[in-house]
Amino acid sequence: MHDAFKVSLALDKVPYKIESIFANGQKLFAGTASGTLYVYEVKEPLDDEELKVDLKETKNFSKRPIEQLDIIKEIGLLISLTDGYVNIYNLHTFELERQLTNTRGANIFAIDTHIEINEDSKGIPIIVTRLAVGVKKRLLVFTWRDTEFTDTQELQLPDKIRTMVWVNDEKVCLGFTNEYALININSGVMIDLFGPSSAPGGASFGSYMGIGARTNKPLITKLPNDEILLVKDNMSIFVGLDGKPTRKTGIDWSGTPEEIGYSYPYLIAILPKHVEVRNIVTQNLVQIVELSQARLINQGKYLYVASFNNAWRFIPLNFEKQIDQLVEQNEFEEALSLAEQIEPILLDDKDAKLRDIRRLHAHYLFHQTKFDDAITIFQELEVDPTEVIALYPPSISGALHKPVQRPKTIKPSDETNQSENNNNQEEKVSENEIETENLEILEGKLLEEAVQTLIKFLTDRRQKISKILQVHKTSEPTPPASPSNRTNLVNGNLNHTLKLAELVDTTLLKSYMVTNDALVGPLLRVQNYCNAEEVEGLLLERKKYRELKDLYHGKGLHRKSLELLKKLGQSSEGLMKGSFQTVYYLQRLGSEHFDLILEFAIWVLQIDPDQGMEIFIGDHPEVENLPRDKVLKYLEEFSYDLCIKYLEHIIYELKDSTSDYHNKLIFKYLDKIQKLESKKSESDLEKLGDSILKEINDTNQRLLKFLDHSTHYKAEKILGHLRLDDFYEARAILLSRLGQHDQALNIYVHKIKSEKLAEEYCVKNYIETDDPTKNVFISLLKVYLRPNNGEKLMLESAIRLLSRHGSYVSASDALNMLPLTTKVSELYQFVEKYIRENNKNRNMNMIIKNLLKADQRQVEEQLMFYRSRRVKIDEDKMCPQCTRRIGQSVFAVFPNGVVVHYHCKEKYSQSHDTSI
Amino acid sequence: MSSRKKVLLKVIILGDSGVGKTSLMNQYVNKKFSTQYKATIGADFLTKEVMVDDRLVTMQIWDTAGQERFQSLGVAFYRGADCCVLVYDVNNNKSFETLDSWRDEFLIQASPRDPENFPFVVLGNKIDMEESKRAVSQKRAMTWCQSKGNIPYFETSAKEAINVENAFQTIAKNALQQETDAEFYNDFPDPIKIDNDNSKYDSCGC
Repeated sequence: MHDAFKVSLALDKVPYKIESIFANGQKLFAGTASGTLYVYEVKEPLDDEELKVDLKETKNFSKRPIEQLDIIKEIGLLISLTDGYVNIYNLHTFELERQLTNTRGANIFAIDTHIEINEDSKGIPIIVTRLAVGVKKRLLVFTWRDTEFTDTQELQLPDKIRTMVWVNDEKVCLGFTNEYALININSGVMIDLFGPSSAPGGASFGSYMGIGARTNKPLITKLPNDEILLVKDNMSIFVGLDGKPTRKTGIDWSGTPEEIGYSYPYLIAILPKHVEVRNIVTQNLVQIVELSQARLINQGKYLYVASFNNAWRFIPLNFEKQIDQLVEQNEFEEALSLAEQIEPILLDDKDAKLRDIRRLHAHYLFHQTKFDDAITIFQELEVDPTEVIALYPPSISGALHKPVQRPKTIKPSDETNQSENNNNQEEKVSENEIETENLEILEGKLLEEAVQTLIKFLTDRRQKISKILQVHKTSEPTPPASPSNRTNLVNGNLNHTLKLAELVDTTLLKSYMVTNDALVGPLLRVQNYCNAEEVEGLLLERKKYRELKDLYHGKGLHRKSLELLKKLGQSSEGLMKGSFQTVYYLQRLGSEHFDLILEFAIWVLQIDPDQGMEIFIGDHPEVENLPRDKVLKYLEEFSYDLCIKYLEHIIYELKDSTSDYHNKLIFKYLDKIQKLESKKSESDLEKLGDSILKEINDTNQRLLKFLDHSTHYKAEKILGHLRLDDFYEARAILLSRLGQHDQALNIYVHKIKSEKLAEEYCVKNYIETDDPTKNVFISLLKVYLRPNNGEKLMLESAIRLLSRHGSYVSASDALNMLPLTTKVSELYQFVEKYIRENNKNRNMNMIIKNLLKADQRQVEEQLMFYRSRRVKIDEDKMCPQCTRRIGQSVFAVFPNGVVVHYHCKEKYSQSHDTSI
Repeated sequence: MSSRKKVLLKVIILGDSGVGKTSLMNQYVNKKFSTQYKATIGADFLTKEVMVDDRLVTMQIWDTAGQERFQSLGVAFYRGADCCVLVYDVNNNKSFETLDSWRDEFLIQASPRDPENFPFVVLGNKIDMEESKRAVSQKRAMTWCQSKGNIPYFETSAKEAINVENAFQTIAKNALQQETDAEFYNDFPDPIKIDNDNSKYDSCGC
């Protein structure tokens, strides 16, 4: 409840009973029971002045009461209803201009004035005034166009009209004793409101109205937005111009209304006990005025209420003051409804005002611990997050926290409002006390609840801010803030937005700490604008090292991060001990932080080389893209083992074919073997010697496997470095790479002394050839049979070779090489094998030959078949197309044997089936 | 549980653009696949009724826009999710690398009560492509899933309908688990105290 109107006594003790009242501008007309018209001049008061009303004139119209008064300002007429007649007077002289004699028996009239622009008027606006008069069961309508009286209409009605109101320029709402109706003056169509045919909701209302034992006066009030308010008993119902109810609930009055009027933006009702003012949107009671015996209303801008002998002026109070008053009383919804209804012109910066009310409302709700509702409003208003965060205790809001002070309404003209009375301020003070009390409770469960809503708000803001920053990023230079981007967030420049982002993210983090700290990690891992220093402090305080690492990582503070991980990793306890976290971190750093990787890999490699190697060989794209030469150089300083491991990884897993790496791996193997050997000779312990031997063997195997497998190393380069007295197998592989099979075989035979390996070598390297110098088996035979450097002849080996692989060597070549003394019996196996192989080949070749022959026959047969198709052209041969002889002409043969002239073939083939 | 009220499970699918989120959903719900690529704008959902452990539940599967410019979803959208499905393309390394931030971003937006145990499911899609194009090994994906608290992992093909049914069955199961857990949190009625305050009522009043 607040004061919408200031009520002043306007007329005091009028000598006769006031029957009708009408006000316009400074003029106030009162019609009395004695038939006298009183004309007053009213001086509207400014601010705190008293209302001044002077009697200007009295006029005796009749002996009978003046029942109704109205004016037609546009054409200067005063209309009265007296003694069953409607009389028309001059508005200024009050001379009777005309008595509408055909209105005899009239009990009510209603005036409508509107402007019409139509074809008849040729685009010039004309003022159309219509006077509707209710006469018994008839409705008379008099029409003026401009000042000229034009016509009269008469409509028949089912009942006597008790009240009526024009609701637009062609419809009149009529009130009968028991029902209401809408009538269209132009078409004469009448619809019953709440009649049996209208909306079902209204039907019960209608019947209810009919039953009423005491029939009350029907009341019709025209409202803005094409609404009509109808009254029966204690209820008011809102209907539209189509007669359908517009609202779900009507107004339930405290008694039966005597009169109801509308005065922007309120509804005023005279009830048995008092006068009520209501908001027509919320229908809430706004003001109660105690006026005894009030019975008449002049609605509209000049609102008067009259009793038998008195009249009161209802002066609307400044809307801004009204709103402020409601806000002071924490009646925000009412204030909002009022502000929304008021025309923008009557309220300075209406949008800002509305926003302000809602903002204050949100603050109020917040302090009432209705956090969700409050935050929803803040969110809708896109309030600066700073303001919202400041509502929270310092653990969340930090320096932003303010001892609770309700933000004041932004008053564009504070100076002019100095007259604000003192008791208002007193109220404010007392409110502050209440709020401070509320805030004291903001802890424990309530705090958690409040923070939950804050998280909602901040995540929403966060998303919006990041979108704006995205736009900033993509469209540099910063576009000038367009007027459409009105939100607070966009207003500021980039710097401002970044600051806001920092505040939002940092506060969000702190909120998580209060309610759900498992979300701190995710927040720090995604793109965020948290204040690094502040968050660092918080995390250290709570020993949240994992999150701290995420923070550093997100901010690119990798050194700090790695130092932390190192410290934690080297400690003997805690979740983060060991090297795993560092390895994981380094694996994802990528080559742009290569130096950092090398620096922090050291400690890991020192305590756990296997783990440490994962930094360089882990399965991650970043790891794969590290500069390999540099990694290698770095690892070389550690040990050849790590080097070998790395080289093996990049060659076998990553398929690196750089020959330098391949060469290097070979050298590393060789180095390792040599170092191990020298170590072996130094150490006396048998056991140790064994393990070293095993390692040598293992490395040697890997070396050989690699030499065999890789095709990218430079054999000649490695041969040069190979010790002559060792690595025979390796040397043999290298020689074979160079195509020097003789030498390679020499090594197998004489150095390694393994016929088996020599033969395997031959099998592997054999290429079918007619050139005996390129046949590796011949080469091996030579090694056996033509020894140089004083090696002895190895006849048995040669014969064994021939017995096993004789078929690869031509007999003549072999025999030529064998010493003459060789016994034929020794060659038995070789020769047998040779002959068998030859027989096998001959038989195989015969089969092939015969198969090919058969094939040839088949082809010949087919050829003959194709050649055997022929036609005989003789003197009698006719062309079936033109029925002439073919004779010597060029002809064509179709597959089915038909012969036609060559030039007839197209036509023939079109009309006949020519296939076989 | 005695009261078998109808359960609605909200499942959200996230992942880079073009990894096949829409296709997976369509394959599962409509058994259809189209080779045409159409970027999802905003979000869209389909529902499907599934039996999980003899219980009929309705899955509301929310497909989202992977492309940043189409992401217009407010925080409210993520709230109340029962399971989040993270999808990547096994032939696209970047789509795998971003799983981390999809997961983190989801947790922030949805703020679940117990982020560490919120059910996620990871799907490595497009395994129908030839092996030589594969960029993320199964081992690598599984290692990641393990490190995030044993997230179930499936290799799928929306095109060939490989493993899709299977994956969504697990999604439904885990979502239902989450949903019943949440119920336990929220809807637990205040206990009726029987040991005090009944002295007032123990006489019949005669």
